[in-house]
Amino acid sequence: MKQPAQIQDVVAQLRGYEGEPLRFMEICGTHTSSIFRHGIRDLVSSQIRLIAGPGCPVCVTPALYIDRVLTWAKKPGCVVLSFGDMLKVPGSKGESLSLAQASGAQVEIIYGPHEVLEKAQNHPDRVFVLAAVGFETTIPAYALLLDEVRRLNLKNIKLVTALKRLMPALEFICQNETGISGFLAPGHVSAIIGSQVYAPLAKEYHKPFAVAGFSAEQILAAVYGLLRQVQNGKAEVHNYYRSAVKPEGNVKARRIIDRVFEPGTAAWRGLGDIEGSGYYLKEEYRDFDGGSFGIREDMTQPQNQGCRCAEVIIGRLNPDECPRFAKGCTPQNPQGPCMVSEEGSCGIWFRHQGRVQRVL
Amino acid sequence: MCIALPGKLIEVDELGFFGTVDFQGNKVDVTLGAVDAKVGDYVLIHAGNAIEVVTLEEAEDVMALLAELEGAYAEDEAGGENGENGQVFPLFRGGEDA
Amino acid sequence: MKINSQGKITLAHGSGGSATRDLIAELFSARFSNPILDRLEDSAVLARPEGGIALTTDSYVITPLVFPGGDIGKLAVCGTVNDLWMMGAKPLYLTAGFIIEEGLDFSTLEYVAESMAREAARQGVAIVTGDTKVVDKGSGSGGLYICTSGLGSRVFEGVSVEKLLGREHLRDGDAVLVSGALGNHHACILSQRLGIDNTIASDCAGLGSMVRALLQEGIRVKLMRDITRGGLATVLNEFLREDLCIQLEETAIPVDEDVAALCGLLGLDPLYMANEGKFVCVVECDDTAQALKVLRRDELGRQAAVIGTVEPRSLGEPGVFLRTSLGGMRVVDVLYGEGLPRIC
Repeated sequence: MKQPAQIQDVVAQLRGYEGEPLRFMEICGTHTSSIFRHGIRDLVSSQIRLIAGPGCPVCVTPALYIDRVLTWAKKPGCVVLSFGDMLKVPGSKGESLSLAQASGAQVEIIYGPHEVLEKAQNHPDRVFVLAAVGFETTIPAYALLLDEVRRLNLKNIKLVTALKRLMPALEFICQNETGISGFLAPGHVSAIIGSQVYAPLAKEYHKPFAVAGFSAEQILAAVYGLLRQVQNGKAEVHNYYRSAVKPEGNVKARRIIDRVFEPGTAAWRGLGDIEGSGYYLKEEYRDFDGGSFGIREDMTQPQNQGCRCAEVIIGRLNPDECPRFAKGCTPQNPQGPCMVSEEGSCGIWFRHQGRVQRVL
Repeated sequence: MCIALPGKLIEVDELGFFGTVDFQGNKVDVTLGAVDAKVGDYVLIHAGNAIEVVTLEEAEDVMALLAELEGAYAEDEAGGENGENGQVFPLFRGGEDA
Repeated sequence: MKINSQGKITLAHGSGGSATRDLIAELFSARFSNPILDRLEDSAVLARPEGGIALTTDSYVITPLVFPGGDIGKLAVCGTVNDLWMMGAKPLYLTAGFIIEEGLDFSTLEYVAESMAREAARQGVAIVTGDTKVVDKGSGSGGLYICTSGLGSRVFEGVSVEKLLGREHLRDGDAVLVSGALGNHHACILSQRLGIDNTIASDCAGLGSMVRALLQEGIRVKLMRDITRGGLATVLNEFLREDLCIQLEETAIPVDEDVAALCGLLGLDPLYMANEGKFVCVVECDDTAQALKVLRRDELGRQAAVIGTVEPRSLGEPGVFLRTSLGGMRVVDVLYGEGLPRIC
């Protein structure tokens, strides 16, 4: 294999790969979207499969969480603030924030959690409830917010949290997966948690990791790097996003997270509980809680029977390998969390109609 | 999880908590408590919060990183000396160092 | 009863009595004045235009009512005339219905009426009839809705477009052009709503001068569509036939730098964002260079570009593809969802 001098060489090598079949998991939903957006699947040999992982934190959020947020949205004098991603995810009765909004419930879209401050100050008679979701990338924002809320002595802000920790979920995947050859690690979560956190998993499960950003070049280089690791029998952690990711990550951000939140068991829609995979408000911040505790996923629910989402989330099945994909399970008629919103793996796959092979 | 964009920090308030970042003409108010940044730095912003101070190269020099990688593998293959490029490597070798 | 410009619209203004009459007279008729409207009859009686007639209707519910680059009134005029131009029809007459929420400031309504009058004059159309209703405050969405219809003639200044337009004329090799940069209107409105400080303005404008130039210079135009809700991706998917697909080139698609940065920030895609002064046209292959020249001659078409080609489609293949800068291929489907800011 000639050493690639330019990105086109990397593409040529990836396209021309004819070795044994490999499956690399994109852990992060933003990588799944970026891979489609840049047409990367089309640039890579069919012997290298890029498979979707746990996807977006929003889609693995249990129905019961949505129910609790909906209750606030319908309560007079309360306003729910949410990211756009959350709007279409259905609760246990099929109603989403978007539907509730159309029926008159108080729901507003925000870009960042700190926007609640001005709203709460301008309307002291209303209670503002943040639908606080996210991984470690987003959690520092909530922690900083609550300290500022305390400083300003605002009494009309609540959080309903569904915050996730990446590493326990990754460990769960490693323990339960079949046939993943390596991992594409999420660039911005890694900016917070660092690149060296993946090293113990790499060693224990003998899996190569590549931390990547979201440009086409970074993703291609990272996939190529994973390929080369596999070919050389390596199981190392390589960082292709050094401008943003340090081996130790953002220590200050993690300290801020740990001041306000603590790990606990979290429920994953379609999967059930994973120990330590969630972050919850610490005792001294619990007065901000709007109903984040005790959210469990009932695995006996009808929506979980026969649905293969659990296997998709841990990468055992790719969306287009699920027998229901696009046959009976579509964004208009979703059977499980992976399809319920455009941000779930199956939703993203459906939108991009899977892999494209065009003869140019 | 991961939509974030780097922008230039153009203003910081007295407490150092809030600032304004310029993304090619879009000025957005952000929180800065999770980083140590000063005016003029480029910061990576996610959901209105700075998650890291970044060095803004036009493109991450991924080719240099890959060259490093190939160099390391070539050395291994040749038993310590710089091997020739163009070798076909066996698919799996023994040994693992994480 | 003279209108108090410092005041607000009340339910009395919609009752049909003297308050209504004065409202219409002062706010609307004076500004929209033309021989047909001035008769203030129950219907506008029009001379039949030559050739085929094109008729369109539309409703405008945007908030905020006023934004950089335009307002709901300008939008109503431009949006309606553009729907006619896209069918190769020269707009002649507009109607305007106003549904006003009690409590709307007179000054806002005056501003909008003024803007509509100005834009109608610029677009060469007459607003010949209209209606006003005042409703209870309560829907809370900004206070004003405008409903329009527009009538145009498909024969004008010697050009008859009867034979030119329609999906049946599309064929392998046709060129796909866009009249300018994508996403500005959507980016502007979103910035206003989220309080993001930038200089992005809506591109709200009438497309008549460009369409007229294309048709008068004999460019063989197969199809034109203005790129409104759902963006370019949605529009392209809608007009395809089963035997044809469109291959787009990512590097050719014009997007302003600040709009692109806003998209990166909020997780949006310019291909799915609304515009109010841009259109896509498909022209006969041999006319591509000339079509581009004609568009770029217009001050609204300076960033016009050839962005793709029409190609044959195999059974089961998707309809719209995009080749990325690295040569990868991406399927471009219609818009699902609402294009809202995301973190993921």
